[in-house]
Parts: sequence; C-alpha cells; structure tokens
Amino acid sequence: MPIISIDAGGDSEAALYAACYPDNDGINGGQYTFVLTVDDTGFSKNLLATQNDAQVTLTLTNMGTKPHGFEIECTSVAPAYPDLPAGCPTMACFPSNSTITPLAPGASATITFDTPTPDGIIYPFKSGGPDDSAVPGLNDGQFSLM
Amino acid sequence: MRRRQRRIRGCGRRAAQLAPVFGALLVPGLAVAQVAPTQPPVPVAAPAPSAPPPPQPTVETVQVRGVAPYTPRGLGDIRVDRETLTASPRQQTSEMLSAAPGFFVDHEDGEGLGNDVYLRGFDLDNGSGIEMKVGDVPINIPMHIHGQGYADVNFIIPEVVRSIRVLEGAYDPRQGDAAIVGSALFDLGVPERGYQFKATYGSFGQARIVGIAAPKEASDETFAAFALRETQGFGEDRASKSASVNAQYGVDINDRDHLRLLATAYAADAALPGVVRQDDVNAGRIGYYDAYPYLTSYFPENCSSPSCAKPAQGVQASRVIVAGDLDHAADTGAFFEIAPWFMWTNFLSRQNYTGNLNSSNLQPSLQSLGDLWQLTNIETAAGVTARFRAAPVRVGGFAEIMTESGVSLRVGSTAQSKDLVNPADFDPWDYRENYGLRTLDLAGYVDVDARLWKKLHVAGGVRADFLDVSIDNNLAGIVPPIPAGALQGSTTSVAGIAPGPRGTLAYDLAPGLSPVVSAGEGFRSLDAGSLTLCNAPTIRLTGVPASEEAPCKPGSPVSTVTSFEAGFRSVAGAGRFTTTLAAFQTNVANELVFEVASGGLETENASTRRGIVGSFLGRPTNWLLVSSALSVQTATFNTLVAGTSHYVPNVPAMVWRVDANAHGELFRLGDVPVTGRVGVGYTLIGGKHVNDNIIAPPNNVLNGLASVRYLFVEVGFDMHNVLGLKYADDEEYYVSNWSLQPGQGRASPMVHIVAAPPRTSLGTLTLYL
Repeated sequence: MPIISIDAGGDSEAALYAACYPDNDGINGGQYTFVLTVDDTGFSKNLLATQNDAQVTLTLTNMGTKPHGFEIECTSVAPAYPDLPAGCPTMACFPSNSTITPLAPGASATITFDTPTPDGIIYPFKSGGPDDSAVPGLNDGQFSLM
Repeated sequence: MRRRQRRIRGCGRRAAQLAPVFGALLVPGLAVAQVAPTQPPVPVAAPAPSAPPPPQPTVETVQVRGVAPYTPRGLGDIRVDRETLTASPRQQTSEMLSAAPGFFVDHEDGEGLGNDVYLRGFDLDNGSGIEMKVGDVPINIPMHIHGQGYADVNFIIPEVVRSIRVLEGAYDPRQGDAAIVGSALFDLGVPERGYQFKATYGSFGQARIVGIAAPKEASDETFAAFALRETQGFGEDRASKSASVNAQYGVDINDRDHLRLLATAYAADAALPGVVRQDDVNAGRIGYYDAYPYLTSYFPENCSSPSCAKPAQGVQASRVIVAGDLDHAADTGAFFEIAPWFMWTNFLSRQNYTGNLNSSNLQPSLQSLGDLWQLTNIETAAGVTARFRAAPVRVGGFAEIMTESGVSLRVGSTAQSKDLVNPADFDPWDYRENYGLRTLDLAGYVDVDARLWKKLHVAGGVRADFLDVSIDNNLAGIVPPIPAGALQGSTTSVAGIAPGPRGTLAYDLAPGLSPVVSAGEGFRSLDAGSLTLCNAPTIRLTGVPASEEAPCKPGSPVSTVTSFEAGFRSVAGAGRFTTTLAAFQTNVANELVFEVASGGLETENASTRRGIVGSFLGRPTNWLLVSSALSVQTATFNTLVAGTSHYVPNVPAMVWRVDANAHGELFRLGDVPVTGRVGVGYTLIGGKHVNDNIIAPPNNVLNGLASVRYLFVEVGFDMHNVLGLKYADDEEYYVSNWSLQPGQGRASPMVHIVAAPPRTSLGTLTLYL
C-alpha cells in the first residue's frame, strides 16, 4: 500500500496532492501553536485540530516518571476521499519531523512541522514510549485536519 | 382653460417621468401611466408654455409622465412588482427575493442574521455577494466580520416593499461593491392608502403586530410603519424577537424638484440552536430540531443550574438609517439626483459549529472551553450618491442616445472582533481577530444607452471604484503564550482601484422577441484578515506546505468577478406573458466559503459557474398570476487538474420555483364585494454538493396562503412547509466532537445539519382604516 510523506514538497508532488485530495472545506494553511504536557496516564490534550497544509509549533513537556514522546500515525484517506483517482495514495502521514522521541521525565522539546494535505481526516497520535502501549490515555490522541 | 400638472399616484415620481424623446402626452382629463418593469427613471421636459388659448369650455390638461424604454441590463434585469412578491406567503423581506427568477432565499437563521441567497450557482451566505440597496442606501457592509458584503434586509417591513428591481449579473455601471452575482434594489411605498393594523399569531407561539399609517392625501412614497415580532421558535433554542420602524416621506417641492426622506430603525435578538450531526439524528440520540445539551448553555449571574440557563448561541443585531433623496428634472429633459445617507449597524453573534476541538492560540496550555465563536461588528457609515442624466439626444433619424454619469461615496469606521468565548459566562479564552477599520469607496461611472435604427439597443459603460482601507490590527505582534498586558497592534493601509466595464446588446428581432448578450466585471472588498496577514487574498495552493509558501506580495483590497450571459426575452399578450432564457458563466477570482474552523466566511481560490436559467411570468387574466423559474448550474473551483471535479460546497445543481396566485371578487354582500386571494409557492432544490462525494437530498418546499376581505376587514391564513417535510436548510461536512455526554468527546467527520422550519401555520387579521 503506498504511503505518502508530505514533507518532500516540489511542484509535481504538490500538483499530485491537489489532484488527489481536493480540499474538503476550501481552506488551508495558517500557523498553530500547541503546548502539551504528558504524564504516565495521558496527554493534557488528546484532541488537536488545525487546517491542512498549516505550520504547527508544538511543545511537549514530560511531567511523568517514565519516558514519553509524541508520534502521529498514518491513516487511511478513504473516509474523506472514497473515490480517489487512480494512482493516488490511499494512506496519508505527517512528516517525519512531527515526531518527538521519548523524553526523559521533566524534559521538554519543541518541534515545528507542516500538516499534510488530505483533510477532513483524523490522524491518531500516541506517546510512543517503551512502556506506553498498554496505557489508553497515551494512545488515543486525535489530530484533526479540517 | 385651467392647466395644471398632476403626478400619477402609484407610479412614484421617479418611476413616472416621461422622456420627451418618446413624446410627452397631453391627455385632456385622463391620466394613464405604463410602467416598464425594469426601467430607471428618465426625465422629461415640461411642455412649452403655449399661447393663450382661444375661449372654449374648461378642459383640464394633465401632463402624464411615463418611463422611457430603457435597455434592461441583461436578461435578469427585472422589476418584481408587489403582486408577484406577495403571490405566495413570505415571512421576511429577504424571502421576497425568491419571487425573482433564479432566486431562492432560505429561512434557517430566524431573526438578526442575513439570510442565505441562492442565485445562478452561488450560495450567498448571509447575503454576501449580492448588492442590496433600499432606495440609494447600500445595505451591504463591505468588510463585515461575518463575511465581506454581509447584508440583512429584514429591517425592512415586508408590507412597505412596493417592488424590487433585481439585476442578475454585473452588467450595469451603477452596481457597486458586493455585486458579485447581481443586485437587489428595494423600492418602498404603500399603494393602499390609509391606516392598516395587522395582527398575526400561529405555530410555535409566533406573534407579530404591524401598524402602517399611509395618509390618503400623500403619495405612495409617504408612510410610517412599525412591526413587532416574537416567537418561541420551532424546536429548541430558537426563540427570537425583533422590532422595526420604517418611515418615508415624499414631497414635491415644486414641479421640477422632489424630495424623499427615509428613516429606519431595527433591532433583533435571537437564540440559535446550532447544528446536529447526521449520525446522532439517524441513531435517535438527538432530535432533528434539538440542540446539543453541552457547550450550549449560558449561565447568567446568580444562575448555576440548567433550569435558569439560557442558550449560549444567538445573535443580536441593530441598524439605523437616515437618508434623503433630492431629484430635479430640468426643462431640457436632463435629470439630476443627489442622495446622502447615514447608517449605523451593530452586530454580535455567538455560534459553535464543532463542539470543542479548538485550542487557544494565545494561551496554548489552556484546555478547550468549547468552540463558541463570538463575532462583533460595529460600523458607522455615511455616503452620498449623485447622478446626472443628460437630455436624450437624437442623432439623425437612426439613433436615440441617453447618457448618464454619476458618483458615489461611502466612508465607514468599524470595530470588529472574533473571539472564542466560554459558553458558560461568555468570557473570552482566545482572541483570533480584533480590528479597527476605516474604509473609503469613491466611485464614478459613465453610462450610455443607445437605440439604433429603432431595433438595436446598446447599453453600458465603465465604472471605477477607488478603495482605501486602513486597518488597525490590535492583535498584531502578539507571540503566544501572551504575558499580561502584551497587546501591541499595528496599522496597515491598502488602496486600489476596481475598474468595471459593463455592457448589454439587445436586438428587437420581432415584436416582443429580443436576443440579448451581456458582459461585465464586478468586485467585492476583501476581509481585514486577508489584508493584514498577506495584504492579498488568503489564497494558498493545496499541497504546498505553509513553510514553502512564497512571501506575500502587496495586493488589491478587492477581488473581481466577470460575468457573461446570452439568451432571449419574449414579451407577448400585450405584456401579460414574459419569458426569458439565459445561458451564463461567472468567473470569480476569489471564492468566499463558509469555514467552521474559523467561525465565518473565508476567501479561497478562483471558481467558475456555468448554467442556464429560464423564467416565465404570466397574467392570463386579471385575477390569475403564474410565475415559474428553473435554473440549472455547476459551480467548481479552478484549482484542479482536468478531469477531476471539485465542487463549491452548498451550491444546488437545480433550483425550480413556481408561484401561482388567484385573486378577485368572490361574491357580494349587498353591494359590497367580498374579495379573496389564494396562492401557492413551490421550490425544488436539488443536487447540492455537501462536498465532492456527498450530495444532499433534494428539498421540496410548498407554501400556501388564503385570505378573504370584506370592507375594511381581512382574514388570512398562511402555511409554510405544507408537506411537513423534515429538510435541512444547511448541510456541511466537517470534523466535530459534539457529544451527548459531558467532557471532550472523540472527534469524527460527519454531515452537520441546520434544520429548516417544520410545518408552520399563521393566522392574520388585518384592519384597513
């Protein structure tokens, strides 16, 4: 199954995305800032919403006792684009620089990244820490692109 | 002989002036006027003083002023008279536009918010995109926080609307800002003279009282009217109330000068229910006409329980207008008019579309307190319109030419803001926009209307608007997270010129049959957010990350629209049957779409509309009127590769309307006639794209009325949505997390519905004194 990554850029790629993923609400772009904390039970916010093709600055502080990070997962575009033209990827991902590797307790990190083009979709995010897979609050985040 | 001039009541002075080029009539003892349906006024020369007449029996000589056969500006240049406007029931003045071919005006929002208007492939949210005027006073607010060109005409009391001239397309140089898809010009007057008192009561506790004073000794233009309306609303959170006063005074200063004064005041306060998700409705978790229980309640001071809570979503709006209009008809046939005006508007709305998805930009660590958008817009504006029409000129025996030049000025000062507020107490938890605006629109135009060889009509001209906007961005320079007292601000000035060539060509192919071709360019102002962020439209290329966008370049304060149409008009049966058919295309440089994530309208990329609109208006007898119009259209963005459609949301592929009204004498009681009226209006709206993959189900709307009048008493009954169908006035597809449980629910994309009213019955008693 083809996977796309939006951080490559380029005119031809932009044209491909424009053809494959017409904007669902007619709006894209903008700048957003999020400040999150995470502890051993969950994120301070498990719902983030921005426009597609927007620039996001996100700061994460680990308030827990174990390492925790921030990782947005790929997702199917089918709910928003059920009739994709041939050749269009069926999955969409955030760029690689949208990930924060697990931080030590008390540590903080800030990242800046661009959101992908397919919108009207919710991308799940999680902590990605070594001991986090069984903790619901660290695996049920939603990053909504409008 | 006694000679005097008499103005014809019922036509109005401006509509009742006869161009000498077509001949002034002197009709002994008889005054007859024929009012062409679409024509601007044309001045007339007074008859030259004649020599003293020879002795003869006394004869009253009456100068009759009619309207010259001006060239209609396109096939959608139509004056809708009151008989057509009232053929089927319409509760609000904005809904009267549905009587014009191709128009449909919804009724989703109740009081205080401008209605959405569908016309020629446009879904004009809150009236933005159609220029509206009452007399010469512009109703649109160019840079309103809710959307550029926002217009709410419901401050006009429907009973005092004498006619509406609609112009579909921008083909007349007189059309100004916001005439993206056309114009609607409201003419006020009360033809039935005397005093009227009207009381209405019906479904959902709706009550309305109207009083009109129209002294018989004054012209149709003179009246004073008030209207009060209150309703509990259908379903939850829809109570509203409003009050409106309209007063107009028209007086002949002398035989050549006429003065008209207009004053209006309006205030409305309405609760809004917000949206419901289609999946919640289908699963029975919420009713079609309900409101979500969480994030929608406001707790006033000393109230902490749901029993005393009030709806958090709602709108408050008010408007005051004072205007004058002085016109002068010169001996030569020239005509001059000057019309100053003043307007003050105040608008506040609170609406939540998405639940609680948003985060605070200024305080990013703050938890979401609900996506309740509070929009405020307070504007003080004034302006003047002046025009001079030269006396008609004949060139040889083949050309008749009329020229007109005019200017208009509009200056405004606005304070506007867009915040996210806590529904519980209305305290802001994020500031998104806060502007002080100073706007100036200075326009001039020249128009030529020529008839060549009696059959060829060439009309059009050039208009140019110089727009200057100064914007104080009170949130500029603020970097989150904000420390206390960090407000900084900045000022941006943008100026530009919007040229607008416009023209119409018509040929009288046969008696009553005229092919018509029109083209023109219109414009509308851009929003303050676009101008301060980028100094250009907020157009971004899909697929291009924000970090790779080219730097913004200084742009124009306006976006343009180009319209073309071709078709024919047929008039038969001595004007009793009118048929039009037009194919049109409209290219919009900068689309305006509703965006839930920002709580209002946002600009987007270019788009194209194509379609066909046909209309028929028939009066086969003097007691029957039938009007029908069908429009079929597409509306797509221009941003994609060939073969991939991308539809502008919420534009119906088809709108079909039929109005029929029968009226006349039913029988007599003694020598007194008992008259009656019955009317129906049917609308079919189909093929509305919610997004590229979802098409909304078609809407069938049937309304009916019946009334009986005996002497000064009339009893009427109106029913709206006779079929009792549940249908959506508005449908949008987007992500939300509305929940029937407390707390922040999971988000998911879904169709969101704003319900149209269910079956509504209203009874009315009217006294004519």
